[in-house]
Amino acid sequence: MGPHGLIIGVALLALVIAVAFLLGRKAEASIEQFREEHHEQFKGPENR
Amino acid sequence: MSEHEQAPTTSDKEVLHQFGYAQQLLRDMGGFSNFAISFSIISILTGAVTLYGVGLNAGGPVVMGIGWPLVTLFVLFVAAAMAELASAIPTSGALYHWASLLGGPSWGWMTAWLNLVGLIAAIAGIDYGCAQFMVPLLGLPDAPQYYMMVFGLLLLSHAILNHIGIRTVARLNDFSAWYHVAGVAVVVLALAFFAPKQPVSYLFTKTFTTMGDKPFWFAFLSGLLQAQWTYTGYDASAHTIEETKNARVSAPWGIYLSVAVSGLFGYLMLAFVTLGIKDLNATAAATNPFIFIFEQALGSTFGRVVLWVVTIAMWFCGLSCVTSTSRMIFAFSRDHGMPLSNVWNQVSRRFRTPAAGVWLAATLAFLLPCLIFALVAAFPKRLDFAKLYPAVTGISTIGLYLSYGIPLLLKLRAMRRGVWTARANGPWSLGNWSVPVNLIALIWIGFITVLFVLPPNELTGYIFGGALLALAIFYFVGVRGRFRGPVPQARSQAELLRLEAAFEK
Repeated sequence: MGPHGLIIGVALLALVIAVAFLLGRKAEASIEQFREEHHEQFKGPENR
Repeated sequence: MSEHEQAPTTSDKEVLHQFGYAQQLLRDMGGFSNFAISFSIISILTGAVTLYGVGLNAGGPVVMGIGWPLVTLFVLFVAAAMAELASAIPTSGALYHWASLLGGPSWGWMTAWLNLVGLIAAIAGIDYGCAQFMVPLLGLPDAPQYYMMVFGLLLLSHAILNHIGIRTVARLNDFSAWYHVAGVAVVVLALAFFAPKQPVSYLFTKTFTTMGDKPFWFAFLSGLLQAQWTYTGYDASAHTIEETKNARVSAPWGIYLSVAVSGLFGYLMLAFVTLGIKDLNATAAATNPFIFIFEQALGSTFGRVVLWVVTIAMWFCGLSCVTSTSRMIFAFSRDHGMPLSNVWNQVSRRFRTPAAGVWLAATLAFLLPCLIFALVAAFPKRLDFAKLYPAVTGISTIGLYLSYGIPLLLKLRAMRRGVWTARANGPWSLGNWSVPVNLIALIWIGFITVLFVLPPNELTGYIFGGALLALAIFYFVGVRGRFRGPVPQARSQAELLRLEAAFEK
């Protein structure tokens, strides 16, 4: 890989962390929205 | 699509009723247990360890330093796309059910069989691998009959535990999740404090290959099988969705987080192990390079301790894999998709587990190595058992990922045709990111499917091609036009309640 390997590796790790975080945050936001839209019907874990 | 375009209702049971199924299985798993079953099947201490030598020989330390995060990145997209579908269609048939609703019974049938082939190969690969570790640890002779005996006993233990209840299995899976974290911590701390270390740049810059006849970039890509096989089986969170509380939220998180958490801990483990390499040539040539690194760095006693840690992790992994496979068999035979479906869809009234599916999963997994031994005995000059084991992992990887990919592709088609709208989504959704996430996931699945059948993995291609041909013949001769896809268990709510009452007595 040569000297570029270190840059590629660090950039890749940063990308994985960013993607994992952003996808998770997007899903979390959709759950919240769903809860608000269907609050009478949707039963979250706290109501179980 | 109309059946799941309804607004969500109050309970998990009522959501299941919307799909025409009764709550036959015991819904007793919490969110952590659902995560734990997938985390246990991914089992960083199993896949990443047993195939460590494959990765190291293919591309050297960069396969760990760069290959692992590269695979993690794309698997996150696959997991997120699957999590969306699990939230929208929360049934234990999972991939099979999603494909059936989105593309019709033929797609569902093919998805189910690819998933089953992948899962059975996974159980065989995991438990036979566990037997290979266990036989020398127990001091048994190095002979095929002892490997098969230990392999059979491991499968028996998994089948019995899965038969007697999801509660027991869920507790063991919860323990397994912590066990994996603790196992990685032991490995990392021991190496961090007591082993000599290479510089960090070693992970990203050091190349090595024993595939001298291939360009390095290709050898590096071949080594990704190590990470890709590790990241299989997380559909277990979807297969156990009918046994999970708050299923439409907990199970998708189980799928997604099991991949994300495995990515983190797997990377930590691989990084420290690889930085502990003293002699790269000798390590690559060792029977088990992972254990060799420990023996070289910390002595043979600690090497033996690590071997036990890994072997126990493999046992947990096999246990979860039997759970997942049995739920798939149950769901598929509930819809009459398998020969003798009325036998395999039986639920134990006492334990409320898919008992027949459990025993079928264990039996088929036992028969796979028997078949391989028979083939080796029939063609001793052409076939070598040592090459067939990686082929089994390849079959498992391709079978599972194709079964993951088909429903994602069908969902994109349904979105393009306007039959899948935002109303069909469950609470766990990626919104307007869904299309690009599904596309990236599909491109990756297509890429690895081709990659893992190219030389030196051509044996995987031949066996998998043979299995596909057999499935195609089976489909055109005995299934086409007869299999109707998911079949509601009852025509009315009252009938569903009657079915459930029979199990609650």
